Amino acid sequence: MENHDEILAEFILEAREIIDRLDVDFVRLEEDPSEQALVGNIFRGLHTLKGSSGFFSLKRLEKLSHAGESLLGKIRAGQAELDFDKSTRLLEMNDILRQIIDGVEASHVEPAGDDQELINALLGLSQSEKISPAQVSAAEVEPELPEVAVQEDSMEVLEPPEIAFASTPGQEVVVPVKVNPEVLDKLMNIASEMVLARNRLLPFSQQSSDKLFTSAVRSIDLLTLELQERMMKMRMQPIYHIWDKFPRLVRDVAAECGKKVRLLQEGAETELDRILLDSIRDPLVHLIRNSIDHSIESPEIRLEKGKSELAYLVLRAAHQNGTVIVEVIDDGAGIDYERVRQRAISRGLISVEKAHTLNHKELIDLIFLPGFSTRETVTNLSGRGVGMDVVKNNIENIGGSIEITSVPNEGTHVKLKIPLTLAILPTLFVRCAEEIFLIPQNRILELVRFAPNEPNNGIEDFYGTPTFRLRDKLIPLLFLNEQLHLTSAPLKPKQKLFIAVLNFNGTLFGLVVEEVLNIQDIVIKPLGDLLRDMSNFAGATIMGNGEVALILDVDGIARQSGLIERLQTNPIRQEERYVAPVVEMISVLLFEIPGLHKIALPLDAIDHIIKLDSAEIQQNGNREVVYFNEQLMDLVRLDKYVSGGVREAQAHHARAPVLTCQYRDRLYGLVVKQVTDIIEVPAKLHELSTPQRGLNGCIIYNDQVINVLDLEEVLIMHNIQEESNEYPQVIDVYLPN
Amino acid sequence: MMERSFLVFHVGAYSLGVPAEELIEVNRNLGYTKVPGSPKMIRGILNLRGLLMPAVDMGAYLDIPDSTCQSFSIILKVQENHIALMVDSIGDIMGFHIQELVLPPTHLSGQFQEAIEGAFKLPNGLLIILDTKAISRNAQNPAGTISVGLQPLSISP
Repeated sequence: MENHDEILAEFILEAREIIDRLDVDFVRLEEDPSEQALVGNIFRGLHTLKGSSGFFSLKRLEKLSHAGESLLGKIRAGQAELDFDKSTRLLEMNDILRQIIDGVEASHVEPAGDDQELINALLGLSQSEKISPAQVSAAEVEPELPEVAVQEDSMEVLEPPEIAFASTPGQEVVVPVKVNPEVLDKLMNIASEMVLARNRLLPFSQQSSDKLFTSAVRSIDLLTLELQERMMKMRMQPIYHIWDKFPRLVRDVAAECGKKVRLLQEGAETELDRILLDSIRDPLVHLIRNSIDHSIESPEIRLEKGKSELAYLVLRAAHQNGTVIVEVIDDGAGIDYERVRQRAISRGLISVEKAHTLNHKELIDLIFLPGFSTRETVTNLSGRGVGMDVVKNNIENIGGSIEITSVPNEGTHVKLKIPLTLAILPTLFVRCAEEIFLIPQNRILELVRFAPNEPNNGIEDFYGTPTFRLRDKLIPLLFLNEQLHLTSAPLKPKQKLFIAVLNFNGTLFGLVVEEVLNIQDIVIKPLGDLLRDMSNFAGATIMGNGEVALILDVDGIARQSGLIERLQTNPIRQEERYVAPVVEMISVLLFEIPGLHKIALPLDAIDHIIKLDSAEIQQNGNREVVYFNEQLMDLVRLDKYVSGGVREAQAHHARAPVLTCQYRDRLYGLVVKQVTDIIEVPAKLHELSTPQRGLNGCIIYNDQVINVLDLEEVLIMHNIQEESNEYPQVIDVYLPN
Repeated sequence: MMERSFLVFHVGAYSLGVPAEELIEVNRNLGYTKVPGSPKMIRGILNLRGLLMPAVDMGAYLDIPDSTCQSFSIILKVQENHIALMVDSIGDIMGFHIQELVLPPTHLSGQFQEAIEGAFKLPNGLLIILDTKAISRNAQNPAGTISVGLQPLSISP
């Protein structure tokens, strides 16, 4: 019995495919009745359906498809032509076939129902060309039917396989496999875990000298990468998976409204993330209905306006700059702006005075308000209580946007911008109190580095709100460690902090963090029920090393801090305050690098100056290292990281001077071209208007410009570059829920 | 006579048990990420092969002072949710007859009453059976979170 269930399940799947295909084919055939191949397709589809239903003794299905087949047979033989009446009946038959299949799936038996009227109509249509309609009485057709069905029972079962074999002589049939989406998600999850496991394995192979082991790890590495790529591809599906149903939809809606519409689809092969595809289906259906019901005029009016009787509805999809653009375009009457205005007033959405000052674009925005519907009578097509506000919400929920333009009497153009995928988000990794947090990159306007302990550092106290002077603006600051109630280590005398300048509903504010690490594409894992009260976090992600990092919810932090309300009640005005400059002298070491002659570093940052023979330099992966003072020292070639530096061929200077320094308990050696002098200079640093890479600013000494190296930035750049080689850019694949 | 199996573990001086059928695995030294602002009983979230789940410090949850709850984590699937219990050490899986379960004394109050389902008598003490659903509920929706935010500043004229 179980076996039977399996076969039945297969049959249901197949029948659904046939019925879906028939829908599309009928509509196409109606447009072009001379297309013989189509008639053949439809005929074969119905025939297969009839045969299989006979096998499962689904009598209702069998009789109905037999009736349809007879009509199609006549059409195929050229004895009848498919007109509007016939295709309506055939589509009606298709709907009932679908209902029966649904019923069979639910209860394993055919749902009860009487299709005699439809069968008679179908058979009547198939005979009416030869015999006058008066002769075809129901009584005459009815008794014939069971006989025919029973007679054909035995042979029909055999026929479908024959057709299948005949059509594919000598070549293998590649049947697309249907996979349960849940299985797919599980696979994705495993693939992403595979990537993480691979990441844990890699360091071992780098330390090992066993050739066999390292080559095995390398092949795992490559296979994992490929697996991940394929998995990401698998999520993408062409948009025609949802467009398939639209020709039928357009036909039915147009017929119901008494309009003539031709649907054109462009770019059906455009690919989109599977989940996004599901969520734009309903908005698109709604937009199509809206266009036909509201924008496109009835044929008579179109003729009066000098347009063609047949209206065009265009669906277009295309990739553009990493997003998918889906457009719904019609050549109908467009939006009646005056009616929108009146409706908005009568619905109390807007005051009368205000309504008359609105331009077309603002009137269109009104359409998106909840509780707006321009139709006087709510039809069962567009007016299902689902307004454009719901469409807009649905699109925005998946990170997309909707844009409507309309020219009266020329039509409406709806443009949806959909992101390619939901899953991946570029984020900035920051550190605060020894923990790593992520800020979505699209929220960050700029990053500013400053020294909080220095006098005149740009921070000013504004009635207890710390603010930062950013060019001509004062922006309030929030310290992330305070917001999250974390205790940071006390600041070192010259430690610098970073301000991420963020935008919250048009108000700029700065979020202060201790360290900026790098930018990486990450995969968001929703926190879901887990810790849903934590409004400071938007989600989490799993990093390359398998650890979890939290994504900051910028809006949540701004809201929770109460800062924004305070700003609204107490707006900050720009305030000028003069601070007398303090003249302080520091000792710097002056040196040259290829391309830049006057470059300086505070003397206390440097431990030793050594001369290094190029023979002493050794390679560790892509790094250059030196064994110095019984420690491994990283060599940093400054010309790589400083603007103005010219990269010269390595090992050019046989005995290059190297400045050694400590940074975060690691030893670094800065390779320079020549060390020139030690001088006393004023400590006043002139900031550079366009920040130069690797430079803090400059010092004016005896009318000479001396560049001050930003050691921290150089070493951060050096380390980021190193770390980014460690893990692939995309470190995880998306896992819904 | 219905018999059920329980995983026995220890927090401080107490022997505790959770239903074995909810057990996914026991792990040592799983790394977790702290969640700022979460209650004390939540150590953080941890990643078990791509699944994120809250790590509950059982010492803090049950208010047992002499516990560290550092190295062992018990991963449970309670209804549809995964949680990790951080405990001091792991014991055996033991079978008991349900009828032998002793209900907790009625004067227990608050979180403790909710947390404990009952106890089985062992030769050398009690095995306290925890209500995993209550733990899961509290971990998913931690009450008494610290309100995060600055105190409103007094604005001097």
